[in-house]
Amino acid sequence: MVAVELTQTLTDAQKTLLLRYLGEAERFSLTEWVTLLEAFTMLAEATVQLNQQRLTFQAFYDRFIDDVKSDAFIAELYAETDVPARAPAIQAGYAREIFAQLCCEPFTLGKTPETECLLAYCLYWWASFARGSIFELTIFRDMTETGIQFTPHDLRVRAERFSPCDLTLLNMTGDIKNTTYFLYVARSFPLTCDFYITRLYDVQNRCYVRIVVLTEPAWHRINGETVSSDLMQAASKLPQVVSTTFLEYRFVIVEYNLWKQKVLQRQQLGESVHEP
Amino acid sequence: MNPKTLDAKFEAYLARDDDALLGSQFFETLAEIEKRRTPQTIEVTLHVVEGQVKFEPSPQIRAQGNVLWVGDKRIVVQMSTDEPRQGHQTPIRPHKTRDIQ
Repeated sequence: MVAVELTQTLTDAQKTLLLRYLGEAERFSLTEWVTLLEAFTMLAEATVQLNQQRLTFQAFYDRFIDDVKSDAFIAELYAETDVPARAPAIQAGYAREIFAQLCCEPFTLGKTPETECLLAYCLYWWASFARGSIFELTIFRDMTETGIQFTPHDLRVRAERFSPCDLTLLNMTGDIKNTTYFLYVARSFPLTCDFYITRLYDVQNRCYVRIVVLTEPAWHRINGETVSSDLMQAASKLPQVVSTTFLEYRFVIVEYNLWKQKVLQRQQLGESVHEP
Repeated sequence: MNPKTLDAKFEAYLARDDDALLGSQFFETLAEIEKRRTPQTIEVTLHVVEGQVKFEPSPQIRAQGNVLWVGDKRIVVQMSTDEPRQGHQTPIRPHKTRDIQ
């Protein structure tokens, strides 16, 4: 069994949420979600003693999960022709392997609150990585089918997975982030890319609606009218193109399909594709 | 923890989609992140009684005698009538903004 030492600055409220994460995160309030994201950030520096070695949680995740599982997972995704339909089963299969591995010797995570925090940390990051990769590949294929010219990074190349942006087009850098990971990254503001493709859930139609969050200069490159809104009212203004402020920076939020049309129009007018 | 309980938690984790945030929830969460990033101002009153410093109790911050607790820091305030010493400054490390506990 491993010995875990949690980050000392972790609050009781954060520990409680970490222990509730696996079983009942769907009941978390939005405030609790933000607290949980803070806790996962802080946990990266927590440590685990394994035989004679002390690893941070992040190093533990990299060594026993990311290094071992991620390449095979990405390869399976690329082999699928219908990624959105097949990917959830692939993701769940890997999650079961990871859970079984972490609950067995030599780790036996989950028997104490401290080791359950490490288990939650690993499964949270696995879900984040898996969902992000599925979303990213789905977007790449959709943009290719639409005829948009862009230069994507190659998820199959490990070094490229950690590149500062996922794609470039019209001399702009872009990132594709699933919703919770976008929120995680938004905490480390300022955002570094010109645009971010993410998604929101439409409960009435039980499907995701893709959106693009752009800096104002990036929006001006493809042009169009916007309506102003504060953050709290922004959702009610969609599908109009919404201009809003986050941490004193102006952003534009546009539905993905409209953004694609505008990028295509701009590219057909002759703007070149950026080749890094 | 009981293995069955842990298995049940894992199955709940597998069954849900944490990404299924409605538009309103997404933007409200961004607003909450923004709120936490904004520095919070808390005013405290310090009394000097017979050469001893003493913070006035406040509902906004934990204070007792000459001690304040800010996040994970315990701040002890001492009073001195001496001139400030030259060439010695407490280093201030940049750190993330955290809520006052």
